[in-house]
Amino acid sequence: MQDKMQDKNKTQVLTKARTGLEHLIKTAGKSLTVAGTSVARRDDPLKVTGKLKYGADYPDEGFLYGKILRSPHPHALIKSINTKKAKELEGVVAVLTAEDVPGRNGFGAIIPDQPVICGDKVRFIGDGVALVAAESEKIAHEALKLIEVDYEPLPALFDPRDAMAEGAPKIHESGNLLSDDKMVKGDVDAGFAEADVILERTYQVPFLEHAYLEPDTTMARLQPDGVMLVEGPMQAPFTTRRNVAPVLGIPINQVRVRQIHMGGGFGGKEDSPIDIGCRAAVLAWHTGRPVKISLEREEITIQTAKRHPMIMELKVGAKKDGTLTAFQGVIYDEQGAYASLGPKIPPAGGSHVHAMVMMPGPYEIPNVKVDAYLVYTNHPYGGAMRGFGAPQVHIAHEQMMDELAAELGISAVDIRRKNAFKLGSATATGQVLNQSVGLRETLEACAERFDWDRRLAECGWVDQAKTKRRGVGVAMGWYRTSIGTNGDGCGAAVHVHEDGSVLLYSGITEMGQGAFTVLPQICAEELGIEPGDVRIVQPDTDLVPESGPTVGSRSTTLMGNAIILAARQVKESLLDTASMMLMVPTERLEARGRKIYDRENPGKSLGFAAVAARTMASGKRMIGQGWWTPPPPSLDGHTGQGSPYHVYTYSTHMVQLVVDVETGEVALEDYVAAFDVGKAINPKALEGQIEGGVAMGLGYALMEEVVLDHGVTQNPSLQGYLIPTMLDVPDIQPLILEVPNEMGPYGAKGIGEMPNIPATPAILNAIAHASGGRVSRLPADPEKVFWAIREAGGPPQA
Amino acid sequence: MALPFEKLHWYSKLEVADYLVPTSLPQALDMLAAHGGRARVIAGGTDVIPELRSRKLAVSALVDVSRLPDMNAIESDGADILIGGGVTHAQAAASPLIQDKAGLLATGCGWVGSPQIRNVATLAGNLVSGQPAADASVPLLALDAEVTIASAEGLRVVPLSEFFQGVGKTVLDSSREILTSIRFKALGAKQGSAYLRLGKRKAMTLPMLVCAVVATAGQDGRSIQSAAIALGPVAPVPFRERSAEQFVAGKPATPETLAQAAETATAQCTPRDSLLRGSCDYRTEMVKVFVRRGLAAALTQAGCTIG
Repeated sequence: MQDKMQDKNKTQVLTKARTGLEHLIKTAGKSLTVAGTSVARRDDPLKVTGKLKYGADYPDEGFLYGKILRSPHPHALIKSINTKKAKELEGVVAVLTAEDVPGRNGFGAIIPDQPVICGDKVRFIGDGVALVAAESEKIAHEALKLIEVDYEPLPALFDPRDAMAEGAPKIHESGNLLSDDKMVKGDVDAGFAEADVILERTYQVPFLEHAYLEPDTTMARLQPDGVMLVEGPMQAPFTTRRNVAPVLGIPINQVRVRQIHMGGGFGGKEDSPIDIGCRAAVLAWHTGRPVKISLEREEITIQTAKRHPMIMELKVGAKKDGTLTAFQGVIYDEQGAYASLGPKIPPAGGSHVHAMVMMPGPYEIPNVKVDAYLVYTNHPYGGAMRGFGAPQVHIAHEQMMDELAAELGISAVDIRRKNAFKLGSATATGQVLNQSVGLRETLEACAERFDWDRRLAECGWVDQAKTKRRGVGVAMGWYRTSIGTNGDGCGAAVHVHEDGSVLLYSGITEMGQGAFTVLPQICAEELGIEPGDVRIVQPDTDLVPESGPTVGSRSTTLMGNAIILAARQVKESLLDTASMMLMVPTERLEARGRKIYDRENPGKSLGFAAVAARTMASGKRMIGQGWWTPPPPSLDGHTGQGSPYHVYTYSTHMVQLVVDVETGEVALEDYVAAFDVGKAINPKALEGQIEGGVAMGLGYALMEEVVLDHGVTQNPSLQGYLIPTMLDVPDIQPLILEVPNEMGPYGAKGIGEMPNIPATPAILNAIAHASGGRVSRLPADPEKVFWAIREAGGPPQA
Repeated sequence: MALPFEKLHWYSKLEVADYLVPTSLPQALDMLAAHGGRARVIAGGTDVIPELRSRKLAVSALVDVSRLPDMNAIESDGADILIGGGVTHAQAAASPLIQDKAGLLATGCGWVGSPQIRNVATLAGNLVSGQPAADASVPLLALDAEVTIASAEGLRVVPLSEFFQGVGKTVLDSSREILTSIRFKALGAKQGSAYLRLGKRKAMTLPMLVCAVVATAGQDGRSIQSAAIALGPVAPVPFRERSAEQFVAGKPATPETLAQAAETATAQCTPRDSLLRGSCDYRTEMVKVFVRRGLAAALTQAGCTIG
């Protein structure tokens, strides 16, 4: 055990010597001192001692409680609402309906199609039809019960294919087809004509809940100066502000959104704070008093965004040797009741377009056609969840690759070796990958560490009674850095103080991913000081520059670049001072280890703080500002061709597991996950991202599903919505490869989402390998595995 | 059909006017009586609190029996084992006596919830809640346990096989009665036991199926003298699978016997198709697998050779 712990504590960063990547790894311009080291996470001590205060821990005194009356129907017209009795209840301060919304009665991360308070109709069970503010939570709850709503139920739609059918009832005036996107490359008919084998498969995935540990809370206060202050745990404070302002009918600069500590987000707290933030703000606006809305666990499951369910139809053609010749796909991407983060922000933003672009997988395929439909239904709505459309399509293409390999009689690893992206490959959108492409390297490194060939040979029956079989599975993945819109800019400010301490202003939020550790590391690296010298401020839209949302695996790369630019601007001022103090030209000055010194005569040096003090005393610049925008994305609206995202992270996962073929139970035994991350700024924090991501992907594979019956969520609490426990998660060995991204800080690219993406199909492939049962509709719970084995005619006997 | 208000709206505060902590059994019974059926006994609270929170239960007072004297014992007089009404799952799971003389119960108790839950939830509460999936109820049924119930009228002893009445319903009325102890025979030589559980994850999940078996090997070490087989939650109450028990009694311990017993074991199973717990067909199939495996494991532990 001790040995294992020690082994785990040793972070494995593969260098060129170990992986034979000399041709790809370029030496960074200078040796790094702070970036690339496993600085301890800043929030850990507060979190593990329970001292960190979350939204629900804020004292209730002075607040009114806000509550939302939810629709009990999946689709209905609102004939009338009577709030008289509720208003008469003692302690009730406001009962609001649609006409009370002061400005735009709609919010949404992309399209404001979700009513703050529904006026004419409801579109899912959980839609908000009235808001109450009262002196206590209990009174607010009682008041909800007293509101009389007369509904006229409408036929409801729960399958995107039904909702697309001609004559289907319209959920929104604009129709049920929210987005219809296409990607066409080459000639798929010709590609299939060339193929020796053609396979067709359908895979289906359900709604998933983020299950972040911290329930949502928001607090809205109308300040004496007329500014609306909204506080809460958020991934996108600027998006919340962008919604609260028009809902109140006031300019953006009259809304202040302040971040508080966040206990997990995984994409879910991108738009849930918009929902309750707008609603609390409307209540605070009407009452003139501070309003707090806290959601209970069940309410989060029912009310807030989920991972999109998809039905994915695939057709793949290949030559006998495994070379892919054509890929055709159809995605029925279920949006649910509201647009949230599904629809396209041109050219390539939104989860739907991202799913389409990712669907053929990280493989060179000359002929591709994908039709992707994003469809409204009367279910809860799909939003962002760690992977943003990519986890779903990876489940499809990675299982398809295994099924194809089995059909061709070649190994699951070899078929990937044959087709995987390499430097210079063209993607399905025609984008030529001209830098930082380490996919094949992750496959080889993973196979070596996992010892794939040996383990493959050792699979089979575990026990003499032939009840359990061992199998192995592999899956690859790719994931973009940034979000594919033209407006993906990111700003930062670095303020050096006269004592050498630094404040870093960034709008990137900390949700457990480590941004508040990694971003100061980058700042410290650039200024030549220690990470502890930099304090990062909690995002506050009144203080920090617009940074965009904390999503899309963009923080380290985009914000990192913005911080470097900001730090360099102020550093120039400091070096100018040092140059005069040391009588050494600035070009010869080096800043590191809290010292500024002459590179040619290191003995000639000054403390960073002394230089800062003199700079301040000289009236020179103490603040640097930086703004970084990725190269402009492109994606043709008709053909889906272009370069939608500027760089990609790559990964390969391998897993060994045992299936009880009599019961369908699955037990994971071992796991290796390899990543090309460009540059690990904080290897230890990165390992945490990897382990958490794999655990999340495991949940998707084996147990997670928001179970819906006629629009009713059957498992709103965590008793019924199962996520993996420590006992379900095997030992995970992370492997970090660094194929530098020319456009990233010190070569880094995004990693937040990648780890959970290949985990799910790797596990599904291993289940199929072990048991013969291929589960094409998730989750692969014991029952589904059991019937899949039956369907396959029983487990392999060899 | 509109979804009921309670399924869509929550609030976090519990509503209990009085929380009473008696220090003796008579005092506890008096307190219950004083509330005339509107109070309820609470021990670990791991079932009561969620019911209060979801408003399935409304009470005027909770009577906390966790500090009653003489309720925390796990003892043996040689033949029998006695577990006090205040014993928690963690205590039972860690008890050398239970591990040694009622292994299936120790295993079952170890499956309940999380360490935090096991540290407060009592076996008595597990029984009184009357859930068909209760991890302690099923092994106690297989052990032929009986429970002692105290009320203002005095004490009564009820065999566990007569205790469960329906989902969430037992012969005990926890607004006026208290389960004070559980008694069963310690497993002897030539006896073995097994506790098998099917769940969607490896901890902290309600079971899709629990099968508890106590088996007694024949003198020859190759036959089955008798077996007790208990199952849950595949009917409204956990139950003993008597037909399979009768089938195996006196038979040679062969794979064929076990397989045939498994086939007969589904007679009383009436699991409903459940979106969360699985289909009737699947769980019926699993009853066969678990009865076969449970018998094999218990017989092997009893020193019986299967072949």
